[in-house]
Amino acid sequence: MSCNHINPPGYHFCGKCGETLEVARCRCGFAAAAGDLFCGRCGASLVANTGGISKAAADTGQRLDLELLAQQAAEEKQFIETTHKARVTQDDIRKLLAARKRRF
Amino acid sequence: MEKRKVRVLIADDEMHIRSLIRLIVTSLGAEVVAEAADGEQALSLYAERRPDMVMLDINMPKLDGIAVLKRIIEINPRALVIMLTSLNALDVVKECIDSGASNYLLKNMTAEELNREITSTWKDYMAAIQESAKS
Repeated sequence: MSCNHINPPGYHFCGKCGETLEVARCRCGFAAAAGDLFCGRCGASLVANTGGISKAAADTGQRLDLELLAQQAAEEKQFIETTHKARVTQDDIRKLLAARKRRF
Repeated sequence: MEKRKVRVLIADDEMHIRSLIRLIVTSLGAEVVAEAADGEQALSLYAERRPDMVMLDINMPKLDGIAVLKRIIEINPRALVIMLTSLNALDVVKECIDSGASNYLLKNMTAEELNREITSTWKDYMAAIQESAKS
């Protein structure tokens, strides 16, 4: 970048001159800072992914981020469902048994 | 319990739990005819001894208690199987009840509560058997 302005993380374009900022895009969709060797989100190596991206590529990355977020949300939901299953007490079980009285 | 000794199979991979259940059921006048430390052994002993009642754990090696329960109910749809486990997940409880378990007891209850539950399950079972014999 020519103006040497220091932009905060997350900026795709320089806040001072508007130039496209070089970011390292991880496969997980995370936009790491230029020069980072590993992804700040998933820890994957960024060496193979490092390089400048165009605005179109940034847009594509943004879309990927949304897809990834949706996928992560689904995974979290499944995790919550499997790890926070409804727990019952012996009284609850008695009620269940009474409701579904077995026919011998 | 009834005058005739109720024949019981205990299936639990933990020996101290089996000993505790044995104490409880014998104090109720029942007879422990077999003990199994895993699911496969439980099934094999069930087929061999045909007990009146099965006290069945869920987390066991080789074959879990739910699979054992389903197989026992296939062999004998009127089998009296009481699940005795620490698992208190609603879906597991429902699956066992739907699969034919006569009762589902949590291991966190006292020996006195266990006595009461086992006795009342046996009485309900016998009453239902007698009722179905009349009709």
